[in-house]
Amino acid sequence: MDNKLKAYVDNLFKDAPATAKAYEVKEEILQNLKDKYNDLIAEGKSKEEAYKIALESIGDLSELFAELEKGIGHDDSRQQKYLALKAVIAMVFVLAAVPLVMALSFKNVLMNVMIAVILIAIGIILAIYNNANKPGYTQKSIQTNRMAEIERKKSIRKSVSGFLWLITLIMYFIVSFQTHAWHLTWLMFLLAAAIECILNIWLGQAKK
Amino acid sequence: MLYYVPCKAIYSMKGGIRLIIASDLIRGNTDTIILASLMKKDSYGYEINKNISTKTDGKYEFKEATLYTAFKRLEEAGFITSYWGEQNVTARRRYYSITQRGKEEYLRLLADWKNAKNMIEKLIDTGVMENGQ
Repeated sequence: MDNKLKAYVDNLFKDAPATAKAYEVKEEILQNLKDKYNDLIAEGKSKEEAYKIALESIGDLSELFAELEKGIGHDDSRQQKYLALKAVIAMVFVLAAVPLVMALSFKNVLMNVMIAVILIAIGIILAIYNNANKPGYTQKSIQTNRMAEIERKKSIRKSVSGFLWLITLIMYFIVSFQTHAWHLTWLMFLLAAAIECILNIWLGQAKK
Repeated sequence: MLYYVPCKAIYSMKGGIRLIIASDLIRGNTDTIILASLMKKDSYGYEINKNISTKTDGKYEFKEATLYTAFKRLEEAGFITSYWGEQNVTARRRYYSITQRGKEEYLRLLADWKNAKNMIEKLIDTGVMENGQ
């Protein structure tokens, strides 16, 4: 009977705007109908009767769809955020070229290479983050939203973390061979660990 | 505010055609009723509707469409917020919670209603019922 109710509600929501919000409302209404159906059965109603009463309690959804249509504007802000961050990333990469060019003049080579590597690292981390948050879900992806959200965060964290440690290792060798300050440069790994902690909190993984 | 009541809605009500006026009045106060039911504690759609049904001796409850249109409208206005309840996997419920602004709005709407009720009573009650004729 749950499937029958679901099929009925799915059909009613065919005309609803294809947004996460509309999908959630559909889920809520379906849950209410299931609760109602179960309560009616518990009261001693027959299956057919309970099903009929549950369907009658839905009412005319057109006004609700109109209300949901109003909310769509919110998705635009996400799109804007995505584009803004994309512009920032492009700028970071362009800026990274400046110290590289200066390194070619053989003055402060180490310093300039370091700055360039850091800038490129920041750019790549931001790009990974931004791509994972790309707006434009399809109806299908909303359905697996919760699971996907967790998986998505996991994969961002993994790639960011891997990249962070790689950069740290490269920097460690470059800086150490240039400065011979091996007694100090190992501190970079502590710094990397700290950065990873911050990233984990930022990506909301520290909760679990 | 005028509400168009579809015929189906009228006949599905247990009191039959006599309840049109009550039904209209209730629909006109949907926002107030929802805010009122959230004043005590956070709640979800089915629970709110069930309480309304109990309080009216099973004579009235909101249609899902009416209830959720109101939820979205109230949420948009900042009078309520919502969150997914941490419950068992089989029944995930979205809870609604009244905000400070919502509480202020509720008090305003309640005062409006009392005012209107007094006026209507003065206008339509001629005392016939008490006097017998």
